[in-house]
Amino acid sequence: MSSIKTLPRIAEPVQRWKRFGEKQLFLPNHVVALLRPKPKQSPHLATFAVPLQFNKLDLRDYLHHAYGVETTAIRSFINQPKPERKNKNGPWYRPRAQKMMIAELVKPFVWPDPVKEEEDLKQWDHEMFQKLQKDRRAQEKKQKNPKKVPLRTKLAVPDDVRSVSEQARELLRKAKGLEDGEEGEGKKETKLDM
Amino acid sequence: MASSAASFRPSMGAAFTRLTSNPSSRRIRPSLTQIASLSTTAPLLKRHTYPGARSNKDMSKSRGQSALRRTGLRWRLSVSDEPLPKPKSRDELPPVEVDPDHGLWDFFPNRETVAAAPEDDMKHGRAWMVEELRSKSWEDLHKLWWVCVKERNRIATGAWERERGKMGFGKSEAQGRDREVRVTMRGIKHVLTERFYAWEDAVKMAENDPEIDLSGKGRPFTPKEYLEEEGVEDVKAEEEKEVVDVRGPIEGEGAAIPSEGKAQGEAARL
Repeated sequence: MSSIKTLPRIAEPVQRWKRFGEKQLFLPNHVVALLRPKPKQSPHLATFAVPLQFNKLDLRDYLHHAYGVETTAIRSFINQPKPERKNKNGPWYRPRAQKMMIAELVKPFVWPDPVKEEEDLKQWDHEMFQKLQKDRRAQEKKQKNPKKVPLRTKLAVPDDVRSVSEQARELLRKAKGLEDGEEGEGKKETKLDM
Repeated sequence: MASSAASFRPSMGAAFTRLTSNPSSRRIRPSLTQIASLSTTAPLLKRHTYPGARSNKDMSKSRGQSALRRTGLRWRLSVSDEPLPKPKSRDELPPVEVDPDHGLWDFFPNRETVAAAPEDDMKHGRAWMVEELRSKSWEDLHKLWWVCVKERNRIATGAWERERGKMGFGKSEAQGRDREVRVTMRGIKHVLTERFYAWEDAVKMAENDPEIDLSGKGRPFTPKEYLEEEGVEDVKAEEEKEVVDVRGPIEGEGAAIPSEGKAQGEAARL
């Protein structure tokens, strides 16, 4: 008896819906995406990105008929983006809103862990992607404050400039008749030196 | 000088009177576990003591109870001594077992990584051409349509995962795959529209054809020229079959959802 008491009691979800829609749709042309849940979200909840014209009953019938997924309840909300402008001084407009729905599932569903291994992420060329993102962010920052010119010492030395300067140094070394890795006299490394 | 209490302000006098009253008249109840914390509300002053004065008792039975301050109830209940259950942390609970046949797996292009790799997204053939789709029945077209719908959902799910998880490139590959699916869907609609126009024309021609009866009573087709000849029944049967073939795909009453087994076969073609 005591073991029963200590076990966590979880209420079995029961399907509330008694009947489904009667209008037959033969060729629906909607795109519904399943989204990864938030880290602490219950496995009995599934989030979907649905078209704006969808309602809760639509999603319930869609999941039941097309995917055989039973639900007990559905919540919905719309993510309204902030107004944007085309260019810096262009006209204001509001980007299209995105409707989201959270379905309460009868059968729990746990997502696989997100891909974090660098080896696995190579399929998407993750390294280059990150580098480009970083560059783009820096560029945007620069465009936002065009008057703020960074110090030259703070700038990264471009690869081509670095390569040319190395070659020049090599030439000088050879002209002086020095071995590899040996620096000429009076040569001082400075930060600005490329 | 009158009594000492009377020399104070009325309110102070009331307080003074209470303090100096006989302490033995107050009975101290045996100490119980305190359920409600002490109320911070100022005690009501009993100033009106003359006969016929209004009642001064506290009408609020739940004074001092607050859900926000978590004071608890003022009264002992039969369950007050029961220990409250303590919530367990998520890690202590047994892991949730996911059904391998759960319907939501159909949203994933890849069960391990969720988003399909660009290389896998590139592995697709061309879309179905209208010429190929013309020879298909309504049931086949309908199943193919649902295969396309599910494929588009899969691509969209992968794209959300790739973008939200900042996994990397692959947008153009996914879009290329999506485009091919949409071309197939356009072809299906094209073929069905063609069939609908053919049916409309057939109805228009049948209205002026004396051999065809559109009233819905009796025989729909009565060929006059061959009535006397032999083999009339065969010709009639053939003609009727043709009419049904033309109308069939438009009024298809098959299940709105294709069966999975056949749908998967169609997906292989995609």
